Amino acid sequence: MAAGIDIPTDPEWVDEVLLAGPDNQVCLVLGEPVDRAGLRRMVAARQQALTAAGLRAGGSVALCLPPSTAFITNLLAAWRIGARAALLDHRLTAFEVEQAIARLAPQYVVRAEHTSGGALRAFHEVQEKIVANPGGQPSETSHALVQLSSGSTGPSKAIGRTASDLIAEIDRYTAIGEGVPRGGERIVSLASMVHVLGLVGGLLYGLHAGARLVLPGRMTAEAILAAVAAGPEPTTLLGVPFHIELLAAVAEPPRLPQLTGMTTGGELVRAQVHDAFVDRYGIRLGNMYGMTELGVIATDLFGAHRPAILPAPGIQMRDDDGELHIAMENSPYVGLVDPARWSDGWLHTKDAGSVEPGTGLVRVRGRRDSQVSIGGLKVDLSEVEHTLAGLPGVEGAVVVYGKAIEAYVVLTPAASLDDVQAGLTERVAPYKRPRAWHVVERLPRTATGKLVRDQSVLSGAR
Amino acid sequence: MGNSEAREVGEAREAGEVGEAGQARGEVLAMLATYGERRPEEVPESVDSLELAWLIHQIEQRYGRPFDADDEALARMTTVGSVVEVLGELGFGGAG
Repeated sequence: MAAGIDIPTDPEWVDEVLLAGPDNQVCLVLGEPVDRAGLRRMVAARQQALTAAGLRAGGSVALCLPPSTAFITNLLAAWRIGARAALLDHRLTAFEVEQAIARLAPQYVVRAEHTSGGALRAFHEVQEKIVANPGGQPSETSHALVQLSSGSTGPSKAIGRTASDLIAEIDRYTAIGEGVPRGGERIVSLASMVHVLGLVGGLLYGLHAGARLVLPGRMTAEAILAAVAAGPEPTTLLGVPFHIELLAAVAEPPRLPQLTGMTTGGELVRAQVHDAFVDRYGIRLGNMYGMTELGVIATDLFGAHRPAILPAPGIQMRDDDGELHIAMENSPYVGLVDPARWSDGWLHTKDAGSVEPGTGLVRVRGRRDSQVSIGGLKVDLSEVEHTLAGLPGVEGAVVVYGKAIEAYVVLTPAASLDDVQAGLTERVAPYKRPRAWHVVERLPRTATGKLVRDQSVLSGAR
Repeated sequence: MGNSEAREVGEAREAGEVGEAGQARGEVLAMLATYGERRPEEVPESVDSLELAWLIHQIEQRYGRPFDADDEALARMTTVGSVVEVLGELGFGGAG
């Protein structure tokens, strides 16, 4: 059953919606400032290279690049060709990238041949290379963007968004208005541009609105504040809750009159961290709720409704048996119809929550599945658990999250924990790996034989 | 060359003051514990990139001077042990 009909959008949308603007208007600062004329030139050059490699309208490419000018220009070039671009987080292991490429079957993969930049760098200098993937297939849908979301069992979900979907999200930011950066202002983005908040909320919206996107030199408190201080224009910080914690810990921040606000996506920070931040910087601290499937969904950009949020213009939400659902005409999933995730025009968020009838205010009360957020990156604990349990030497495993990801494992008599850890290191990205390991003789189970995930019971098994 | 220097510094510290190294480790654990309201004994040996960003700020506030380690030094700071080592090399921490 097809979820709906996608109407392809003319590739000229890239020029009209993203690249248009005065030649000398600086639009990106990843180290060196890049103006629109320069960006158009770089995108045209990458378009030529991708075309020369064989990429065509309706074709498919995967970008496996760290945040960089190369990432931006290859993405825009692929869209300008009319091809579908899949984004693979550069932190994924070779094993995960291989699996993703097998699943998505892109015709080409753009990888980093050389990359400068080390720990805590917010962006990298990248020399990219285009590699043909012999088993690759052209895109079967009209999606412009494909992103992977880890699945609890079986293959990961591929989430597709058309150019129209992306334009609709950009328009939604514009419609939210107050609290969203305007043309002539700056966005200092701390959110990864490979994921929806940094990608659409930072990069694409910034290009569209003429708000300059600035990435700090390093992801340290000092470098972030220095990036804010570097220009006189009104500046918004875009990040995840960790960045609030980091900046709230600066005892005496410099005076930053240009800093007008900070907006974060993801879970709420604790009230005392929120208050400490507002007290230190004297600016608005806003919260956004969004998903890879749809982008920005609901906001509280002035902390006026905290802990509740208000649906963005054009977004309709309801709670169904305690789960938040969002009206969405077509299923966002590529090659998968899962009624537990999308049915009859409603996206099932898997977030517990409620919608207040009179005001429409929404409360999000946490996940109903095993997904957790590590510094804004989504990790599905059951994916880690399945991978771990499938390794040689492991008889059983439970992966839980308390203050960090923790693994409880039962090993076969001949196995060593070092080997098991090395096996997992090959298969899952660093941010998904357990930080604490407990080797136990047996895993506690319920009377019906199900594994127990309650941490007080698990710690008793140590 | 950088590596042999690092080893020499490490050996010198081991030979000199075991207690001092323990103290430096305690300081690192205490600084890391302030992130996420943990107890020092709850801090895992591995240090992730969020914790590293947090730690750098804590180091600068504690010692009142910038922590200008290069990419190579930062890349090594992936465990509590290697953090203690790098801090020692750069003259942060302990009595020295």
